[in-house]
Amino acid sequence: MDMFWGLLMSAILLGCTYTLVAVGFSLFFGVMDVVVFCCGDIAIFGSFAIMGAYVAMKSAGLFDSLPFVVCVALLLVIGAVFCAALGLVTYRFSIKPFQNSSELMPLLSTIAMGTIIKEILGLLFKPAVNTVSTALGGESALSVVSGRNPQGFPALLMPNGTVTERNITIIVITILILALLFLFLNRTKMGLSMQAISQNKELSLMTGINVSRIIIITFLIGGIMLAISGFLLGSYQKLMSFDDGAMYGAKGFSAAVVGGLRNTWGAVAGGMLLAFVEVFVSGYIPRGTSYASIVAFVVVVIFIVFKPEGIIGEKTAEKV
Amino acid sequence: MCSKSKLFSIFAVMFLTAGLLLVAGAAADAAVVKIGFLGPITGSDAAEGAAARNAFSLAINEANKSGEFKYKIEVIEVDDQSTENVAVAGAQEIVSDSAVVAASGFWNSGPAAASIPVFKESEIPLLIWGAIRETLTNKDNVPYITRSAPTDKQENIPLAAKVLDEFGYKDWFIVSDIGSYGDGNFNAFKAELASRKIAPLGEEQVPEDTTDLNAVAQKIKASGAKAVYCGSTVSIGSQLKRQLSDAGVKDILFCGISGMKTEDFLKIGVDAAEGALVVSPGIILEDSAKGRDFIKLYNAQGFSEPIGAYTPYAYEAALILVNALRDCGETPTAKAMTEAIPKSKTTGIMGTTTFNEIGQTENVAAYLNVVQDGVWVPLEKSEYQSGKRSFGGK
Amino acid sequence: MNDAGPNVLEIGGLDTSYGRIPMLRGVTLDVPSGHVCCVLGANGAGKTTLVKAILNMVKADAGSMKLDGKSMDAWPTHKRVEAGIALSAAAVGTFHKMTVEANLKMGAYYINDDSLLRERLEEIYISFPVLRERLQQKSGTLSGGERTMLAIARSVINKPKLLILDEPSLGLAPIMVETVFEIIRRLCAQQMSILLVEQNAQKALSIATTGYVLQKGAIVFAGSTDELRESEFAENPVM
Repeated sequence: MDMFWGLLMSAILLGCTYTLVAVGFSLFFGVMDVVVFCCGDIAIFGSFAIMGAYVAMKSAGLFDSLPFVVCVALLLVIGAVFCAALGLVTYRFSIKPFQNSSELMPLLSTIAMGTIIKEILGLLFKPAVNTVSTALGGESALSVVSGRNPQGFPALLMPNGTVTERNITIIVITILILALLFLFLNRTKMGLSMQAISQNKELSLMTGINVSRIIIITFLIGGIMLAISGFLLGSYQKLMSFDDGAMYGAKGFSAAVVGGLRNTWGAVAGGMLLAFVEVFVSGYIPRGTSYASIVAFVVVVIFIVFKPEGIIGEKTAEKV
Repeated sequence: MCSKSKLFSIFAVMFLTAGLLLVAGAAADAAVVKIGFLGPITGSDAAEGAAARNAFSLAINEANKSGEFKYKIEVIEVDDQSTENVAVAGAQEIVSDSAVVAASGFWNSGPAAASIPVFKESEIPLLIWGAIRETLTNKDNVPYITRSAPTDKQENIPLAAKVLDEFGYKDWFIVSDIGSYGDGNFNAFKAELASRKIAPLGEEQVPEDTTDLNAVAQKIKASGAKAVYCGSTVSIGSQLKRQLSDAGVKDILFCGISGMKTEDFLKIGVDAAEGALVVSPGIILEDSAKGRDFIKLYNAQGFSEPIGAYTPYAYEAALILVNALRDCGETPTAKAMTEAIPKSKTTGIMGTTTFNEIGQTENVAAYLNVVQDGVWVPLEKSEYQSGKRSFGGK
Repeated sequence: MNDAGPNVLEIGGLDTSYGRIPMLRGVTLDVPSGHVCCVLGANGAGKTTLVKAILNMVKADAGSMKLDGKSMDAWPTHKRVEAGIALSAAAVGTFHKMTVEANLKMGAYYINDDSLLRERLEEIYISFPVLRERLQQKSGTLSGGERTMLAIARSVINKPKLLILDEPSLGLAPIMVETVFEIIRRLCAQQMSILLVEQNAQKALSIATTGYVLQKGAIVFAGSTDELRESEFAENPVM
C-alpha cells in the first residue's frame, strides 16, 4: 500500500510536468491550427534561462541584498521574458512565413526551431552565462560548465522544506496555473477571442477580433506558461539537460493528442493518463521500466484509433 | 687574405642556409603522420569525452615537442556524440585519410562496437581508450583492435569483492540502462552475484534517456533491498540516487560503475549524493608521483574540462601509440602499427600496459570512490573507511 | 445614423483575384443609406468574394471603398467591423462549442459597457424569441434556421451602419425563409442600411430599393428594383 501511494504521488507529479508542456501544444494548436513542435524545447530554454539568471544574480550578490522571495520572483520574470520572446521568434520565423503553405511546413519548421533552441543552449549557455556573471560579479563571479553537461537546477522552490512539501507545492502551482489559464480563457475578452479563433477563424474575423494580434498574444502567453513549466520541471527534475526538450515535446504532444488537441482540459487528462500508465507499468510489472514508454505510446495510439476527438473532446462539429 | 676569408664565410652562410631550406622543405613534404581520436566531445557524456580529447592531444603535443620523431604527429579529432551512426561516419572520415596510421577511440561501447568493422576493413589499428564492454576485444578482432582500459567485467570484479565479500551485502536490487554500457555492467554484476549464489530481490533496466526514475525508486523501496547496484552513466545514476533519496530511501547502499564518477553527479545536491560508492578504473592520481605530474601538466594547459575518470586512460592511449610509433621507423605505416601496438610495452602513469592474446590490457587498476559532503573522495581516505560514517543497509 | 450622406457604402472599380485567377473585375456599387440594396447572382458569380472584400477578408487588387464617405482602403478587417460594418453569413457557421448567449456576446465584441450590452441582448431576445429559448445550448446543436437567426442576431446586436447579409435564405425550408425575410423587413423598417446578397431573386427584390446583378465577377446590371424586375435578368431563373 505504501508503494501505491508513492507511485500515485510520482504519477501525479510526472503528469503535472507533461501537462504543463501539453497545455502549450493545445493553446498554440487552438489558435493557429498548427502543431508547434518546439514547446518542450521552449520549456527547457525557460529552465536554462532561470538557471543562467540565477548564476548571474548570485555573482552580482543580489541573493544577499534582496529577500529570497523577491529574487525568485525576479528569476521567474526573467524566465518569462525570455520564453515570451522565444515564443514570438518561433511565431515570426517558423510559423508566420508558412501560414499559406501546407500544414507540414510549420511542423517541420518548428521541429527545426526546436533543434536550434537545443543547440543554442548546448553551445552558448556557458559563454553567455559566464560572460554576464563575470561582468556583474568581477572576482566573485560564478561560472557554469558546458551547456551540454547536465545543469543542476537551484533549489528555489521550498528550499528548506521536505521533499513531500516541495512536491505538493509543484502540484499546487500546476493546478493554480491551470485554474488561472481557465479563468483567462473563459472570463476575459482576450481568452474568449482565443477560443473563438480556435473554433471558427473566419467568423472571428467577421466578429471584429484582431486575429493577428491575438495570435501574437497567444504566443506571448504560451511562452510565459512554458517558462513556468520550465521552472517547475527544473524544481522537480533537479538535473536538467539541454536536450530534454525533445522528450518533453514528444510526451507533451502525445498528451495533447490524447486529450484532443484543441481542448485544454483534455491536455491535462492526457498528461495524467500518460504519466499514470508509465509510472504504474514501471512500478508494478517486474522489469517493466524498459517497456513503460512503449506501453504509454501504445495507449496513445489506441486513443487516436478509437477516440480521435480526445478523452473529453466532444463531437460538436457543425452539421452543414 | 682578409677578403678571401670574408668571401668564404659568405659562401658558407649561403650554403648552410640553402641546405637548411632543403631539409626543411623535405620535412614539410613527407613528415606528417596522422592519428585519429574519437570520443563524445559533445553530448551527454561530453565531460568525459572532452577531457579525454584534451589529454590525448596533450600527450601527442609532448611527443612532437620532444623532437624525437622526424615527422610531425597530427591528431584528427572526431566527435562521436555518444551516438553510433555519428561514430561510424567519424570512423570513415578517419580511415579515408591515407596519412592515418592508427586511431584511438571511444568512451561509449555502442559507438565502439558499431565502428570496429570500419577499422578492421580498412586495416587501421584501433586502440580503445575508454569503452569497457567486454566483447569489444576478442579473437576475431586481433590484431586490429586493442584496448588499454579495463573491461566492464574487470571493473565489476573489484567492486563485487568489496561490497559482496568485504561488506557482505546480500539483499540486492540491480538497475542499469538498456544500452550496451548498462547492459554489459548489468550482466557482469549479475554474474558476480550468481557466482556467490545471491539472487537479486529485483532488477530493472531503463531506456537511456529516462529522467524520471521515481517508479523504480518506489519499487526498490518496496522490495526491501539493502543495497542498490546501478550500472549506468551519470545521467541515470544521479537521478536514481536523488529520487531514492526523495522517496525517503536513505538507509541503503548505493554503488555503481565508473561512468557515474563525474562532477555532474554531485549537482543533485549534497544530501542526495551522499554515500554513493563508485568503482573507478586506474589509480588515485594524487597518490603517485607520476599521477601528480600528470595533474600538474594537465592543469597547466588551462583546459576548461576537469580531469575525469578516463582522462588518464586517454593520455596513456596516446603514450602507447607514440611508443608503438617508435618501433615503426622513420615512415610508419598502418601495417607496421597493427603489428607494433599489441606487442608494445608502455609504462605510463598507471603502471605498465601490455596486451593479452585478444588485445586486452593486462594492466587492471581500480579503486573505490565515495561521495562525502558533496565531493568524491577515495574510499581509503573517507570517513566511511575510518568508520566515522557508514553506508546504509547494515 | 444615415444622415452622413446619400450612400453608406461606395465601391469603385474593385478587382480581386484568387491566386492568379481574377475573381472580381471592376465592381462598382453603392449602398444607399437607410435602404436595402440587393446583389443577385448565380453560384460562383463572386457574391461571397464581394462581401469578404468589403471586410478586407479578401484582399483587393485595385479599387476603392468608402464608408460614409471615408476611404477605408487601408483598414484591416477588425477596424472595418469596429467602424460599423457587420457581415452575417450563415454558411460561415457559429462558435460551435460556445453557448448561444456566448455567441451573441462575441458578436458584441466592441460593446464594452455592460448595461448597454444587457439592453441590446434584451432587444435581440424580443426580436428573436427562438434564440431566448436556446440561450444555454451549445450553438453547434442548433438547427439550420436557428443558426441563420443567430448569425443575423449576432451581427445586428452592434446596430451597424451597414449590415451585409450573405445568402440568408440558403438551405432553409420555405417557412423559415419567410420568417427570415420578415426579420429583414423589420430591420428595413428601422431604416437600417442593408446589403443583401441572394440567389433567391424574388424574395430579394420584394424588399430592396436598388439592385445589382453579378455575373462571372462583373456587374452586368445596376439600377432600381423596378428596372431590374422589367429587365431580362429577372426572367432568368438561374441568373
